[in-house]
Amino acid sequence: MRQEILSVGIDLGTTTSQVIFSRIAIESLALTAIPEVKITDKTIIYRSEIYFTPMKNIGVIDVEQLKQIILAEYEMAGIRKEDIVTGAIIITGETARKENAADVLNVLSDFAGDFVVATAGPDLESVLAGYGAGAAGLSEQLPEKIINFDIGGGTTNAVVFVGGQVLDAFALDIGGRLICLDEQHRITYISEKIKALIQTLGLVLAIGARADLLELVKLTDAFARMFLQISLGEILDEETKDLFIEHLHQGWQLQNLMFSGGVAEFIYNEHEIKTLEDVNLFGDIGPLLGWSIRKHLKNMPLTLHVAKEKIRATVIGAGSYSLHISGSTVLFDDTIVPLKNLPVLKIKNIKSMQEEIINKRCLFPGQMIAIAFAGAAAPTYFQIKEMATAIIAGLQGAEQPFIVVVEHDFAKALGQTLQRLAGNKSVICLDCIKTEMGDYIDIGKSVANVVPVVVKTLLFKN
Amino acid sequence: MEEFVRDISLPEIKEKVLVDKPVSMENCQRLKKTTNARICVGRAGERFKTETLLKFRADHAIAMDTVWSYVDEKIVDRLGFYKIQTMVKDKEEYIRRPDLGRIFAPETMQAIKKDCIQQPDVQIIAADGLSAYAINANLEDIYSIMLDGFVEKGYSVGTPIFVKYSRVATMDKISEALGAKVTIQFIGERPGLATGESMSVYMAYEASSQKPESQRTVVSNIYKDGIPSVEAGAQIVYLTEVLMREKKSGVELKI
Repeated sequence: MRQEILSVGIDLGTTTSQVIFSRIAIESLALTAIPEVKITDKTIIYRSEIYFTPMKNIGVIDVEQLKQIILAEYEMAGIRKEDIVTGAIIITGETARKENAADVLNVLSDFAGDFVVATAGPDLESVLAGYGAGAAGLSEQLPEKIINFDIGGGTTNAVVFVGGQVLDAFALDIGGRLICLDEQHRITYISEKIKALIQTLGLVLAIGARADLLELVKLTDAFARMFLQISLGEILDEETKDLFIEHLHQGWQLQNLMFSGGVAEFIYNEHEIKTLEDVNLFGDIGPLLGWSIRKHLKNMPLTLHVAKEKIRATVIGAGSYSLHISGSTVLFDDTIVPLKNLPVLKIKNIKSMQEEIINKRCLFPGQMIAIAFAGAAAPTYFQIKEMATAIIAGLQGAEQPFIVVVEHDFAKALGQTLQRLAGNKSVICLDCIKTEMGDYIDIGKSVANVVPVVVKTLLFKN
Repeated sequence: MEEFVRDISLPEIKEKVLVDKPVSMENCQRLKKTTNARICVGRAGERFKTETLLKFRADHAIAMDTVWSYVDEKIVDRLGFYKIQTMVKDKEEYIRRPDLGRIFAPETMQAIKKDCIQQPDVQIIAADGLSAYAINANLEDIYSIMLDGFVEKGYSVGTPIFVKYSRVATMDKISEALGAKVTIQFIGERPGLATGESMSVYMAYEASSQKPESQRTVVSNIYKDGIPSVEAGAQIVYLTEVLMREKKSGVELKI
């Protein structure tokens, strides 16, 4: 049995915004009465134009104009909001740090479809871009690790894959639009994030003044060397460390690399730069950054792989790869979904589950929470009953359905037992989903007996 | 200090990469996790390494033992199963004469009718089949979760029956004798080289020897590295509701 669902991806970047629609095929292979359900195909059916992200002024996104753009794209694609089953809006790079970013996400996610999730967070963005670029897929065929750098306008998102699995994800304040130029090549904007670096390098770059090509090259060459340091597993300079967002990388020595994002177009092409005219194609230093990286990669012990998608990697990642499906023997309740932004209460030790739930519940006052844990690979019925009892006792007094997410395949057993012991309270119990404390999950309506789930890490922490 | 011979049936032996100087140890390990097949084991000349060969023989020995061993009757007694035997006299005859493993002596049929609950909604049967270990390992968990599930759904559950020297088709005879609506049979699967503990569950609506084999709905591969027994049990509780509602089973039932 094959079912197809429509998914939307919306990427609001520092510089550009785009929309894609894809068709995700979910196939159920029922050799026995326990079907094997898999996502078997993802086809992009519509790609929007690439728009400049509308801004009211620096720091404020123009929500109305954004809505108009997206509405027009839905119309051009011939897709109604009601037909969208899943998808993600991802607000990326510096845009995510804009004042009204959280409002924008809330407005757009309702507007884009019922189970379209609003999501942001540099690490998740890195992972999605890596999927969209094709690095995850390629890593399954490579004997070694591969890193993908998605270089956008404001930030670079990096992810390391091995054998299709994420090994590390991080982000840097490096991008093509950290310096903006007007038509006379005068500098109109320098990002706060790189002011310290400019000072350390002793560069003569000032707002209002005409840019000096050699000075700009010094800056983009410095960025290019940072990419090399990270890829080769070298000890990082202090200046490089300062550009990491939230946390450092794990420091792998790598042989394979890939670039996506707008700047990547200029890494893979042959665009030569001799004058400021060659740089200033889009009013920023993106082409120059690409050129610097291309130049520095020559004669390096690194294999450069061509990305399947460059500027569209993130939006495709958001539209096609944000969705997970649960195992096929689970307990779901389609009458209470979609559930959005449930904070995950992750149990460290299932032996003390009841105490952990009681102690951590107060971290999420008034919020519906999802209880999550790994669990044993093949628990006994006695253990299942113990888990259910602990969950019921831990959530006593909470006015919410039981929502439990586990890693190993026992969700139907636990779900039924919960239902039985709790006297038919509403229960959603899903398995084959991995989560961490601090994650949020969204749960959708069942498709072919599996439940679509999006696991995300939100940037907007209070 | 006393020296011991290594236990080659331990699972960690199976996880070991035996390739000499692999290009990527990590990749070999990752590859091995995806399958039970004996890959990344290297070779000695054109043949297996000693360790691989011994492991292969140990696994084969488990498969042989499985077929020739007996269900631990303490387990079936503790769970209150009613014990009967097919027309088969011993293990050797069980292997040689599959036909006798499908039928009961007239006295046995009468005893079933006399001693067991008539016309239950659900009749549960445990059969040794080709793996006694499968029943020993899975019966308690799967039976207990199902029993609680059926009681909660309000189904009447028949006397649980254990059949020695049994093939799948005994469920039809028992169903006919007792007039059960849904008959569910746990049976030990033919052991392979990956495990000797795998169990199948066959279920049918108004199971009958007049109906073709396609009357049965099956859940297989129930063991600790396959489908956990509690999870299979929960799925069968769910499927039983479907069978009761649709009044059919097997290929006629679209799940």
